[in-house]
Amino acid sequence: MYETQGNGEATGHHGELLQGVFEDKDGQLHRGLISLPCRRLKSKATFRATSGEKISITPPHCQKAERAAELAVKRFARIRTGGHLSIESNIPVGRGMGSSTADVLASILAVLNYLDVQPSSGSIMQVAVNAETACDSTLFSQQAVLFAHREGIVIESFSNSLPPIDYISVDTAPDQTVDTLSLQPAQYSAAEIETFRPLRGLLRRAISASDLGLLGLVSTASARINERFLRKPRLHDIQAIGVRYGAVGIQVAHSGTVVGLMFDPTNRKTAENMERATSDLKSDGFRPSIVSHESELERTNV
Amino acid sequence: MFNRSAMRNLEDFELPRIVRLNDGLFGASFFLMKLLPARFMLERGVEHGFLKPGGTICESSSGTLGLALAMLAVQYGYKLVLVSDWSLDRHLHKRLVELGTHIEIVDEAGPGGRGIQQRRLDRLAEYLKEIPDSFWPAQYSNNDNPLAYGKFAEMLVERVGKIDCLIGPVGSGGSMCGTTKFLRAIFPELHAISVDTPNSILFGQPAGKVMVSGLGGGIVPFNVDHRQFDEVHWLTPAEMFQGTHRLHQGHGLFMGPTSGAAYKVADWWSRTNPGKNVVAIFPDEGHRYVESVYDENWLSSVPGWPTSIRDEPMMIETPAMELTGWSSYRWCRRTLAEVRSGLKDQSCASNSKRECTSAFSSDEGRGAALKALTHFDATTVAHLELDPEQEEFVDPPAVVFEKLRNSPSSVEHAFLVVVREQVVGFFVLCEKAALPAWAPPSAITLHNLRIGRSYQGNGYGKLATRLAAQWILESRPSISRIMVAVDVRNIAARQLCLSSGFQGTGAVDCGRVSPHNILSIQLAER
Repeated sequence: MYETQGNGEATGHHGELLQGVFEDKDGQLHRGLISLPCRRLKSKATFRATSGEKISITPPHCQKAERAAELAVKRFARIRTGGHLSIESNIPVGRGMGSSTADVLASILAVLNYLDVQPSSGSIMQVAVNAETACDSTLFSQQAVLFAHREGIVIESFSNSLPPIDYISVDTAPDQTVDTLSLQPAQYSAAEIETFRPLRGLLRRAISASDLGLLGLVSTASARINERFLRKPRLHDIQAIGVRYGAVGIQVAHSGTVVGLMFDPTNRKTAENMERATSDLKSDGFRPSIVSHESELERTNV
Repeated sequence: MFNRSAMRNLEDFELPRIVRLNDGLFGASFFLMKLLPARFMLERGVEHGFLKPGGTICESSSGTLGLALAMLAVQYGYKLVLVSDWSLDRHLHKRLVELGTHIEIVDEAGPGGRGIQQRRLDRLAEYLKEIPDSFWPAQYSNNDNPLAYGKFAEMLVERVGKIDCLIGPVGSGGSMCGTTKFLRAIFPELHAISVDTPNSILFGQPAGKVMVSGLGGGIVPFNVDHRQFDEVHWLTPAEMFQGTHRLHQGHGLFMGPTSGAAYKVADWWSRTNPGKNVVAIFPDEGHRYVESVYDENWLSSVPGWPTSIRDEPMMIETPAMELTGWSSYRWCRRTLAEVRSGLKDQSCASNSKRECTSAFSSDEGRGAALKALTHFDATTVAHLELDPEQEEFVDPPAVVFEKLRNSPSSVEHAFLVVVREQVVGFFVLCEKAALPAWAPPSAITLHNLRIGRSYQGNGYGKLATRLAAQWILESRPSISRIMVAVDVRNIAARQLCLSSGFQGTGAVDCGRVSPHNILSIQLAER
C-alpha cells in the first residue's frame, strides 16, 4: 500500500567550479559542469496523492516541477495517480543557484518517496532533464562528478568528494535575474574546448588530493574563459580583493549573477581574511555574505 | 554542434611517460610525440571537411611526423604521400615503405637556386593538385597542431600539479607553443624556455648549416608563436649530444638529441631555481641515433666533442650574434620582429611604453602584414571561426579552398592577415579571368573576407582592406578599383565596407540566394 504522502528535498548551489565542453571515453564531446553545492539552500517538496490523474502544484509558477512530477509518475508508478505538490524553497531565483533544478529534483524525489521506489540516480536525472532541459550535479553529494547538464549523464566520477570550501558570496547584479533557459549555450571555440582538458586534469588532481589551492586555479580559469558568454560586472574588482586576502580562487554562476571568492577552511587565517575581504567588498559597494563550511555543516545537521 | 570523428586506436602511444629526474624536475618522455598532433590534425581535417574517407594525405616530412601519419593512415584506411629529401633516415625510410607510404625524395640540386624546403613544397603542391580528395595536414601552419597538446597539458597538470617552468625543443612550434598556451590558462606566470641550436633562424640566428634533425630549417613556421617564450637557449650539437648521454647514463632514458638538449637546459634551470616544478619535453626515443649520437666513432668527428662544452649558458645581448657555445637570451614574450627591431617588452624595460606607441602608429609597426597563401593552405585558416549568424554569408574554408585548388593561382590570390604573428583574417583577391561578371576589367575584386571571431573588434576588417589596397598599388599599378559584393541582408559586412572606405556603386548583383550590393573603392590616380 502507498502512504498518502511523500517528501523530497534537494539542495541549491553557488554556481559552478568548472563549466565547459568535455570528451567522454568514446571521444565524443558534451557540455558539462561541476557545481559548488550549497547545502543550506534547499527546496522541499511534499506530494499528496489525490483521486484522479491530475497533478497540481503550489506555488503555481513552479510549472517545471509539476511537469517533473507528472513525468516521474508516468515513468515509475505502476498505477497512474494524481496528486498535489507543494514546494517550499529558500533558494534565490535567477541568480544561477539552481533554484529551478532543486524544485524539479525535490518534486521527483517526493513522488518517488510516495511510490516507495528507489531508481538509479541516472534515471532520476533523465526525468529531471526531460522536465527542465538542463540540470546540475547536486544530486551527487558523496562523490564529485563532472556532469553533462543538458543530457543528464555523468561524464566522469571523481575518486573523492569535493574538499570543504569557505566562500564569500557576491551578487554582481542584484537587480537583474537571468533566465537560464533563454540563455544561448556558449559557443566555445576549438581552442577553448581544448583548454578545458587541462582544467579537467587539474580538477581531477585537486579532488583526489583535496587540494583547494589547485581547485581555485581551475575555477578561476573557468570563470575567465566563460566571462565572454555571460559577463559579470566588476569581476576584476572582486578578484583583486580576493588576491589581497589570500583567496584560493574565484568561481561564478555560468547561468546567473553570483560570484564566489573561495577560501581554504584549513587555513588558520581564513576567518580573519574573509572578514577583511568582506569589509573591503562592502566599501567597494558590494553586498557580500560569508558562507563558511562550518555553518553549512551545522545547518545540515539540524 | 559537436561532431567529432575519433581516431583513437593508437591513443595509448600518444602521451609520454612522466619521469621524475630530480626534486621538482620532471621529464615528459615520448615514444613518438608527433602521433598526438598527427591524430588530432586528421580528426579535425575530417571535421572541417578537408579529409574524405579513403582520401590521400600528402605531407612534406623527413622526420617523425611522416611516421606518425603513416601509422594512422594504416589504421584508418588513408593513402599517404610523403615528399622528403636526402636527410630521411634509411631505417625510417624502410619502415615507411613497409607501411605502404609513397615516398618521393627530392634532390637538392633544384633549378633557380631554390632551397630544398621550397623544392619539397613545390613538389607537394603538384601532388595536391593531381590527386583528388587529397589533404595536406601542414603541420607548420595548421592551428590544430598546437591545439593537439591540450591533452598533453591535461596529463601534465594531473601528474605534476602546479608547473612553474616548461622547457623543450622547437621545430614546428606545435608542442612548446601549444602546451605553454594551455598551461598559462591555469598558471599565467609559467616560464617557457625554448631550446634551439646556432644557425637556426627560428629565434633570430643568421641562417647556416644545422646538423641536428628536428631543429632549425630555413623557414620560420607560422606555428612558432614567439610571444610564448620567456627565454631562448642555443646549444651546439656537441652540447646536445652530451646532454643526451647524461640523460641516458644518469637516468636510464634512451632519447634523441633534442631531448638531451632540453634535459641539459632543464637540469640547469632546476638547479638555479630550487623549489620550482620544471617539466622538460623529450620528443622521441634514441633508436634512430644508434649509429650517430650513440656511436663513439661518429661522435669523435663532431666539432668540439668532447672538449668544448659549456656547463652553463652565457647570457647574450642579441640573438643575431655568432654563437660558439651554450647561450641564452631573455626573449620576454615578444614577437620575432619585435626582438629584431630591439623593441623591449614591458616586463623587461621601463621605457618600453613610449617605444611601443611610436612604433605602433603604422600597420607595419603594429606587426600587421599580408602573407600570400598557396591554394592548398586550407588548414591555415580553419581556426578562423565565425559567429553562427555570420556563417550564413561566408563560405567555409573547405568550400573556398575546394574552388581555389582548381583555379589558376595567377588570377586568384589568397592572403592571410597576420598581426603580431597571429593569423587573424583571410581574403581572396580576383583579377582578369577570375573576375565575376559584375566587375569591370580595370578592377580587382575582394572575396571571402573573414576575421576570426576571437580577433573581431580590433579594426582588423579595415586593416584587411587597407592591406589589400596596398598590395594592389604595389603589385598591380594598372588597377584603379577594388570592388566587393555584399549580401543585402549582411548589415555588419556592409557597415564594415563603408567604414573601410568602400562606396556604393548603385549596382546590384542577383547572387545565388539573395541580391548583393556592389561597392567600390577608387584607388589613388596615377
